Amino acid sequence: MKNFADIPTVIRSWSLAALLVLAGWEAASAGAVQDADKAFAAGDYPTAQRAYQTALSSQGPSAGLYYNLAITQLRQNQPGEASLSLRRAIMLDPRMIDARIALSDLERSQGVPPPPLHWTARWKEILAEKAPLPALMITGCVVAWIAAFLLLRAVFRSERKFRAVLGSLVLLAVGAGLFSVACLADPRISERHAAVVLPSGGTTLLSAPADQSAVVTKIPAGGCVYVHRRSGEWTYCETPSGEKGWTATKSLESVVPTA
Amino acid sequence: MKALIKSLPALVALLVCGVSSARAQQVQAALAQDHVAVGQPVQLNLSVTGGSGVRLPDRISVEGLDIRFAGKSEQTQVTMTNGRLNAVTSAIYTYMIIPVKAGTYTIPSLSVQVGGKVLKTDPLTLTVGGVPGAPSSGNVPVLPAIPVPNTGARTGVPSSTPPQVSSPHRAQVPPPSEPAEPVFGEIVIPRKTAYVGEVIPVELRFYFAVPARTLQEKPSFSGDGFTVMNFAEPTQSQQEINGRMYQFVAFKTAITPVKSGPIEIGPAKLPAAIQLPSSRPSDDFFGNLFGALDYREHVVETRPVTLEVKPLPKDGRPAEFAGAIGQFSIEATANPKKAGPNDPVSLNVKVSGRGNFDAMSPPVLQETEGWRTYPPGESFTPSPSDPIGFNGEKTFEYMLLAREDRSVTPIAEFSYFDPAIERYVTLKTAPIAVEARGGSAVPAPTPAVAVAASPSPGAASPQPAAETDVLVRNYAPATFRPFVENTAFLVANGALAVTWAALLFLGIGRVVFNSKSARAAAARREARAFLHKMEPSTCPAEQFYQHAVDFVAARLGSHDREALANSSVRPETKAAVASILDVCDEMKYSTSGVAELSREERRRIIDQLKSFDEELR
Repeated sequence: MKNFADIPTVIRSWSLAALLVLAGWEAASAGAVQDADKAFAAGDYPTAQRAYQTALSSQGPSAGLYYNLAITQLRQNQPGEASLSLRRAIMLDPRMIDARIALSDLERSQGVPPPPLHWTARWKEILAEKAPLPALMITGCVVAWIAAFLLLRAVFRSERKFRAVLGSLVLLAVGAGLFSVACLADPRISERHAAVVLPSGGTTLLSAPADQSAVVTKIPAGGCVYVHRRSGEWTYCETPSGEKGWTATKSLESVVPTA
Repeated sequence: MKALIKSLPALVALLVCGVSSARAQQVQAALAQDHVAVGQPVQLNLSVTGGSGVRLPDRISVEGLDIRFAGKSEQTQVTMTNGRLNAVTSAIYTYMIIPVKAGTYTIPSLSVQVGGKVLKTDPLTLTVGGVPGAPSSGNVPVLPAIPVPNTGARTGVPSSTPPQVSSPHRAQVPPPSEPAEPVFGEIVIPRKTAYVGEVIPVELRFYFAVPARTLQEKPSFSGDGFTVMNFAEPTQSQQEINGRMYQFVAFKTAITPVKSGPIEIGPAKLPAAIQLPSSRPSDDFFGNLFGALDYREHVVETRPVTLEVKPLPKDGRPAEFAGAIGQFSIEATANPKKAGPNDPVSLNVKVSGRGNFDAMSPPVLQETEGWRTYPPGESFTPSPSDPIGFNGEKTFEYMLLAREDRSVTPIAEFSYFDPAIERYVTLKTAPIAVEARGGSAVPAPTPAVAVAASPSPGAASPQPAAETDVLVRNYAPATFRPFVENTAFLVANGALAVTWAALLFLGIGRVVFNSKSARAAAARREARAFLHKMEPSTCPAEQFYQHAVDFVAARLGSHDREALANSSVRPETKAAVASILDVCDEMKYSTSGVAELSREERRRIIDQLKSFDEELR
């Protein structure tokens, strides 16, 4: 093992510079979060909001930062923005109960229709809330691959071919099922096309992409829709209760931030 | 021996009678009916209570009546008095009377010896009519009413008419004019009308005037348009109907009508083994002592009962009504009375009474402003006096978390339909005084308005430290990219997929390589190599013949001549190849050396071997 002194000077210099930049970046992020917390404690919510947004842009996405941002937005009576931040926090950490409770309260206060209570309609949400989805995906994947290799062995090597193949197929189905269920429950996948209504007055869902067309339903601020397609100023979307229609693109913001 | 086993319970009962303490002995004689027709059998029951060493009259003889001993049933009641166990045995000795001719008969006083004492019964009168089925003046049967649990005056219970249990709706009890059957069943229902979803207690009774034992733990009881709850443990008792003493077993349950209109309840069926006098003479001691008896299987059946089921009225139905039917009361308690920020307060709402607890939904909380509420947990405790489970109390436990400082709990509202007064009733609990501090760990959306309307941030005074408790401190980095799009995950899976595919192709290759046709093709290729080596004219004759032998051996898979003989080629080809092999052998063992081969000779041999190769395919 070479000593640090043996490393060429150019590499050493660049490494040190990179470390300094990283440390400075981290310090800047940490500073932004501290500033935000201080401003929040002082009741200066606009400053706190800006500081959390700075921390998010410098540090990258974080469920905790989005949650704190949502709280500052709630304190400033910005239900649409708060709903968006809470949904982003839940997407990043589906097991963040505080964010789920806050979103539920917010939706109730805005008159957003409650989601169906039956577990068959909520199984994705329940699973995402209770189980660590990446661990489930990895487990499912590992089981499926073990089963796939056992299947090869069963087909080409095993003497009790039928039993071995059957056992491998069952194991493969279990692994693939586990993986699929975890993928379906992952809000990063299932909510990929979700968008939140931002204007404080909410928005209307129209039957056609024209201002004078018939109103399908009204969606309050903070309400969520699933975007099917965008067509310039208009977006064709669907509410959680299944109503489809057109609404102004500018009134919606995607839960997954656009680059 | 069989008779001994059969009589064993009776002997044990006799022994028990012998050791039990003496009580006041009683002897009573009763006729099941006092008016019968000629040829119609009637039972004479001689009941002996509290005695041992019973000795019956040897014979009861009345002219015009054929009286025979039919059997005996026994019951022992154990009681504890002043710490002492007392066993009282009562036995019923049954005689079967068949009137031979019409008239009024007096059965004389019977002398029964009990524990050394001689007791006498009252004389009985039996009127025998000339025509079978003539009316008789029996007693009207009076069955005990179904025990109805006390609903009691509870907080919030509106006054209601008690259920109509005094005149139960029943079927199958023999009317006074009918001769009593030795076994029969009946369904006792407290009402003739009911509402859809209402729980109605039902008692199934099976009467036995002769010794019997049931063959099933519970009766078969079902029907269309109603559901049946679980059966309670059966109870046994005695009752006199039309002057005849019956043992009856009662099964309690409850039914719930599921559709409106008339529905037929029953019949209920209970298989039983009934003891009847044997037609065969008995020649053993116990048979003579108790009379020869036979058990016969018999399904005791009730008559069905019709219940008129009404739909629930639509008028006056409260919005909170969720299907509860019955009579209920409601009360609430809260614990703890003092709660700090984020400390939950448990609000227990207890709904008690009688009704369809299974279909009961939680009471609705009202005036919940400033509280965070969660769906309640629920538990049901049946009343100890009710074995069926339609009396009891259901407790709903709500967890409340104060968002703001609160001094009273929300109120619980519960609506139900009372079939007795045929009205919907809504009960409310009173708010309970508590001291709950508002929690700050959970953001409240509504205060945002107040905050926005507050003085400018610059003028805001420093907030208490607890204000920042609403924030989280975990800023772990995360990504919006799904895990399945993670590069490492994709690379690992790709590598596994490539490995798997490679192994699959390898396996397939092996299978193909190891197949029979592949082996045959390889052998052909190997053999043809020898043929190819024979082609050049420069090949020495010795080697030429050796290649020829090797070719034949490779194609046949053996050096044996028999393989050639057994091969599928034509006889002339076989002869040609054999001659080549002969030349080769001759060349191998000859000392004179090998003659050179002409080009034509070589061609002829190669052609013969080629046709051999073709024919072998």
